[in-house]
Amino acid sequence: MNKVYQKMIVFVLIMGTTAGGLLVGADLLTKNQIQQNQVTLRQRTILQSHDYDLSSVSDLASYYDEKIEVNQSFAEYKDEAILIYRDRESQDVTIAFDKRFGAGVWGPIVGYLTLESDLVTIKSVAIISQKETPGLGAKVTTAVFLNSLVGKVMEPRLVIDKVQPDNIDDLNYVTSIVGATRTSVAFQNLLNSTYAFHLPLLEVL
Amino acid sequence: MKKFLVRLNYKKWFNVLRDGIARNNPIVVTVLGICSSLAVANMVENAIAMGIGVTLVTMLSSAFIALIRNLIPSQVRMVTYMVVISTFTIVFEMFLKALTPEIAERLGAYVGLIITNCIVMGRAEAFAVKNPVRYSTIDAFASGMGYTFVLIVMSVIRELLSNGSILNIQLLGADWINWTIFAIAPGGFFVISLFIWGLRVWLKYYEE
Repeated sequence: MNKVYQKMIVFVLIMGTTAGGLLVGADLLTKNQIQQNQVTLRQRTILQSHDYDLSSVSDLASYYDEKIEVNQSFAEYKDEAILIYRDRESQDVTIAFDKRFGAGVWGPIVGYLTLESDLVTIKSVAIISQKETPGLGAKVTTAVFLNSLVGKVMEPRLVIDKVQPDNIDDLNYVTSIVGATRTSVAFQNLLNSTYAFHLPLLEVL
Repeated sequence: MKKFLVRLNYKKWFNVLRDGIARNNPIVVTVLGICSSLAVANMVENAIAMGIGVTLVTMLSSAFIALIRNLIPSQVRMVTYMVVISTFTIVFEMFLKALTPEIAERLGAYVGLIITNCIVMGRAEAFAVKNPVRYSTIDAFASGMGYTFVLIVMSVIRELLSNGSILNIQLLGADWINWTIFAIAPGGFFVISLFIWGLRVWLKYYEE
């Protein structure tokens, strides 16, 4: 083997080790903080879904435990626990929608659907991650669209469409996102399937 | 003041900076980074975020490649650039998620897209591999700023026409009908073509 190849192999090995070392080091430095951020994001989103003002809260974790009751004992779906978050005061409930119940056009849409204590009226919808087309389907996360879902009723089903069908009541209808019909339909199906799966669990809670 | 400006013209760092932003603007002149600019430049906040990400990764990659430029065997230089660029992109993404999770979430897939941005590898191959760390970093910063400038101008036009807003602040009235085509790729091509044409006429830059 001539010197050129030897030098090349040594360089590739050193480069691979350096890059690997950098990645492992960065992972070690950031892993715990990223996990903690995910927990904090979940707690903050659920509390905000129940209209709690967090501006003056210093210890989010304790406040969350004080306000929210988490029920996870009675069900599993696709090897993951089904969690139901209930406001201890108002009895409103929050359920999570994720890839187990459907997806958007380009990937999972993950978030929380909060229902009032009658278990059919939408109190709020929050999205924490999605992979829809930037500027089009990604508008699913905008306050304008999410607020249009508030007060709508999940029974018999929620319809998100460009035009309100004749047989659909105002309380079940939401106008779709302009230029993102496929994402609107995917999100409609995701919410309906999440609700249909959780309803029997909510009724026995 | 005039003396100072004349002196600046003879400084290498100033010429490198000016070329990256204007004379060799990566989008307008060298037509690099078109794919990502079409994808992300439909909202101003996306354009700013992508611009910052590309600028930082380009600077880190160019600086590192310039540092090891005399050790890189020519047969594996492209692979080396790819390893360096992807490593810095992933490290940048990890720290972004750890330190500023809200911005990381807003950027989403864009951070990963930086790996595929031609500007990063283009500057490594055209400049960093032949120049010292200091000038390579300035060149990368200038290219990143040139890219960011075009992205922001494009996104202002596209967001205004497709949503009636800039930075999610509604500027056009409620009776404004959104031109949705400007939020998708065909509208992006239209805006970028007009922009490149206009700037090249203004700069008197014509290809033979």
